[in-house]
Amino acid sequence: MDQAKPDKSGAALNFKAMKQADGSLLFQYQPRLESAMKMPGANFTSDGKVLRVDLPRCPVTADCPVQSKAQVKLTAGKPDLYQVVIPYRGERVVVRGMDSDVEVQVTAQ
Amino acid sequence: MGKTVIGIHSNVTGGDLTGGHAWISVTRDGVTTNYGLWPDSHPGIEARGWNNGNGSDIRTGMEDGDRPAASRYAELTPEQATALEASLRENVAWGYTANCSSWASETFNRVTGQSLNADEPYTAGVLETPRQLGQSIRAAERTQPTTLSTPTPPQAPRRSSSDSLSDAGAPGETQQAALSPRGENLLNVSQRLIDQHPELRLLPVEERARVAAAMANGAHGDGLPDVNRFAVKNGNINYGFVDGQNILRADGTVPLAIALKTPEAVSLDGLRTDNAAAIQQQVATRVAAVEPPVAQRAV
Repeated sequence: MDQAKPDKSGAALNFKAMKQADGSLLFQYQPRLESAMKMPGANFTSDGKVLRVDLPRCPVTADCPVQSKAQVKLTAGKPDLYQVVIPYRGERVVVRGMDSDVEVQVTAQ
Repeated sequence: MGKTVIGIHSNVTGGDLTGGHAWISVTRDGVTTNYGLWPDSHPGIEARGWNNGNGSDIRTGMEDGDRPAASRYAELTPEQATALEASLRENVAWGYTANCSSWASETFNRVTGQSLNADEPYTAGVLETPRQLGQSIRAAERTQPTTLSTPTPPQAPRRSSSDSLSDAGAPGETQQAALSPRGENLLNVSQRLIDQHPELRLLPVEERARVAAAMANGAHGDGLPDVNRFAVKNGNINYGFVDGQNILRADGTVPLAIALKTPEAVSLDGLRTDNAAAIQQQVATRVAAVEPPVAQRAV
C-alpha cells in the first residue's frame, strides 16, 4: 500500500490509487477514527496533467457534498477503508493537504 | 462472575477540537470488547447498517481496528462490573456536547471512582474532547502506569466525583472580569463578521451573539491576535489571521453546531482567560476540585 503523510489534521492516510480496467481511477483512503467528523468522499479537478483530489472533512451531521461518494469497505479487526471512483486520463494524482499536497503513485489494479 | 477490566482509550492527545475518538473496552475473563458512542449519520455506522433511529448510540466493535494513543485500565469489583453492564444497556444518544469522550470518561469515572478529565479548558466544561481525555489519560499513566494485564486494583468508587466536576465547571461561579483589549477586539470583529454573513445574519440576535462569542473564544484559544480571514463552509466557521506580508499566522475552526449550543457566558469566560498561565491555573483549579485531598474524600 502506498503510505503517504496525513494532512495537517492527521485525519486520513494510507492513500492508494489504482487504475481500473474501464480506465477510471479507484482512489482509496483510511480516515482516522473519529465520531464527530466524517470524510464522505472526494472532490476533484484536472488540468489534463494533474488530477487534484480533495477529501473534505466535515462535522458528522453537516451536509457535505462531494463529487464522488465513498463506498466503505469493512474488514473485521481492521480500519475502515473508503473507496471513491474518479474519471481518469493518465494524469499525476495529487491529494490536497491542509499545508502541502501529496502525490500518490497510480498502480494497475 | 470472573475478572473484569475496564479500559479507556483515546486515539489522539492533540489536534483539533472535534478530531479523534475516545472509547472504553471491557475485558471479561480475557475477552475484550470495545464500546463507543457513534451517531447514526456517520458513514462507518451507515456502512454497517447500524442506523437505529432512537436506539442507543453505544456501538460495539467500531474501534476494533484502531490503535489508541493513550489507554488506562482498571480492574473492577463484582459490584462495579454489574454497574458497568447496566450502563452499557442504557439508551444513550450521541451529540456534539454529549459525545464519545464525555460518555467514555463519565462511564469510566462513575464505575471506577477515578477522575479522568475530558473537559476542554476554553469551554468551561461544555465540551469534552478526545484530545483532552488523551492528555488526562497520559498524565494519569505517568503517575501510575497501567496495562491490560496490570490494571489499577479494584476499589470502591468515591461518591460525588461527577458532582464535583459539574460544580467546578459552573459558568455562573466564574469571577467576572473585563475582557482584555485583544479579547474585546476578537469579540467585536467576530460579531461584525457574523452580522454581515449572508446566512448567519438571518439568525436571531441571541444566536448571533452566541456564535460570535464562540468564534472569538476559539480564535483566542488558537492564539490569533486578530481575525481578517473568515469563511463558513461545511458546517464549520473557519477563521484566520494573515499578516502584512500575506502570511497566514494562525487559523482555526469552530463547528457551527457547537457554537450555537455554547452559552454566550461560557465563551466569554473562556475569552477572559487571557494567557497560558491563567489557562493552566483554571485547569489546575478545576482538576483540584475533581481530585480533593485524600483526607477530604468521601469513602
